Amino acid sequence: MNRLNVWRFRWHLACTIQRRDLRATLYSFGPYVTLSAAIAIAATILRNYVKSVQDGGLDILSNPFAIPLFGAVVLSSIYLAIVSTTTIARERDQGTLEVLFYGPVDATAYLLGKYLAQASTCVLMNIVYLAVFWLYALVTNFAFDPGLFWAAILSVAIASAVVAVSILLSTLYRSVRGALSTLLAITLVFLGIQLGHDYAAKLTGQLARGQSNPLLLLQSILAWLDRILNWLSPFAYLERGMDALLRDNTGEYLLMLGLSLLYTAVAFGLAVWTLRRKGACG
Amino acid sequence: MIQTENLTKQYGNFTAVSNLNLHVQRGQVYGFLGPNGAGKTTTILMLLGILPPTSGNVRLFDLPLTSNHYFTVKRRIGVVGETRHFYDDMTAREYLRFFSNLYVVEKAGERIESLMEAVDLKDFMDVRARDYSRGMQQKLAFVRALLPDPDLLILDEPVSGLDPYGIRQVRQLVQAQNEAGKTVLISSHILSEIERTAHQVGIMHRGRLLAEDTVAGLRARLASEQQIELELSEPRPDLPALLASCSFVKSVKAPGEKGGRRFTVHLSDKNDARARLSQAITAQGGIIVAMRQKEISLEEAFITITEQQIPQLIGPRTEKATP
Repeated sequence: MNRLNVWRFRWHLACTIQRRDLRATLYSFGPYVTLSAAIAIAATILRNYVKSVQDGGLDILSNPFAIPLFGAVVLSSIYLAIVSTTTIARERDQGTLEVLFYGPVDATAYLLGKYLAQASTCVLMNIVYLAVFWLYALVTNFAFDPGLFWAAILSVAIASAVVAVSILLSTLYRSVRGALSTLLAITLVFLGIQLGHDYAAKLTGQLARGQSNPLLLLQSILAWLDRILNWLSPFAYLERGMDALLRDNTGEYLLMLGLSLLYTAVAFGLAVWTLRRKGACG
Repeated sequence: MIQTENLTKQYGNFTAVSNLNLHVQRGQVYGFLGPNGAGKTTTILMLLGILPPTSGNVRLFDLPLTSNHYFTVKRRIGVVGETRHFYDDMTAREYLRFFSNLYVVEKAGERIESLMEAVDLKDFMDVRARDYSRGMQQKLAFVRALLPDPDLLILDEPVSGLDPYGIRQVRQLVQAQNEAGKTVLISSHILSEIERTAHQVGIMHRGRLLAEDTVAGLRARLASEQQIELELSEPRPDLPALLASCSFVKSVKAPGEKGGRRFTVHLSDKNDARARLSQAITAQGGIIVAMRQKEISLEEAFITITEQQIPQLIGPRTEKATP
């Protein structure tokens, strides 16, 4: 087999695995619960906007659907992260991964299949979000900005990065518990840094000028970590990308899109390397 | 067909497989034996590229398992592994369809139906595989392995969990596949099965290949002396002592079966002395009704080799010996 045929066959394997996984996902409760929650949250936010317009007569909103979409993307990404983290660890745990590798499946094809399954779930979820937001726009008379399509594309790229990182985590652990615990720990550390930085900034703002306080040191450390986090957390790319869309800054939007895809490629490459090194059975 | 060169797998300080040089010829049924923890499954996983070896090489169909040949090689192999897990949400038909797609099996529907019929599972095709009994799951794993019409079958404990009828079905399947020119590597604890089907056996112990030969070859190598079982027409309690005085007889055991008519004679060398023994008994007025050269069973050979760890029992490579 030449290199082209190897990749052609690998793509065929990945699509076969993707179809199986997507079917399993669509037959489960998870995506529907996530969709319902995201749609309900969006409805609540929009209702508040409508109420605000009713109360004040006018409200200036650059894009009323930006925050609901951001919330929906974060929620979907968390769901996809959990599913991606558990799916491979569970297959390894239960032995179905080993059985797959008895056949002509290699690490790249397998992980690509898993990635494509989650990415296509994300695309389907985003289509539903856009359809629901369009309905909300009809009901509320808020403008349905075409920029939402670009935001949806960015959100798929962001979710892809989250999925790729989760797949990487999943290849590192044999048990579902280990993989999930690490995902939770990383999420908590990220949140802790972000919230800690905001809180420390608030506290140090209340200090009198010229006062020295250990909080200042803590705040500068957290600020430094937060800057790193801006490059490590896919959600930071989403925030910056959506902000760029609101400001009509196409260059920064494309940069965030490109960085998300690069993030995905690096995490995916590391996952393939890990699975090859560790082997399919542990 | 299968060739390993100094294949080694280490987990920290523990060596699971050590410098394994395995050779399985095309068309052979190769019995891969060893007690639990001998390194058989680790070897099989390395052969399949599932577990990366610490050192050494694997060649299947004279090709290395590198990225350019990986898919070509793996599509020609069917595996029934120790692990028999199925997807909870799939029926047997869906499960086999999924693997047919992976292997790119032509006319998959027909092939699935004919294979399921061969193992008496055709009526259960739309039942979820997780609801199958252990024996049915084993047969389903067999069908999955046979889907791509593989040139090489690797079977790890293929008859465990099967009832005698199932064991016979699997044996017939293995024999049919071998008769169709397929090579079979079969790892099993059921030595009688290996003895019946294997052309060549390899015995592993503590990660090392201690012996590799035909079953007959192993017997011949392990038999340090000839043993002849005799049955006389009538009891002759005096005969053991008389025979023991013969120069070619080492000892005579009379287990007391059949009223003292049966003896086991241990000859002092490997040369065939049945004619001389027969003459000696006839000279003493004995009438022989049965004489059989006692052969060491594969189980005895296996236990002798693994307990005593007899080194250097790697016999000549045979193209296709008769089991």
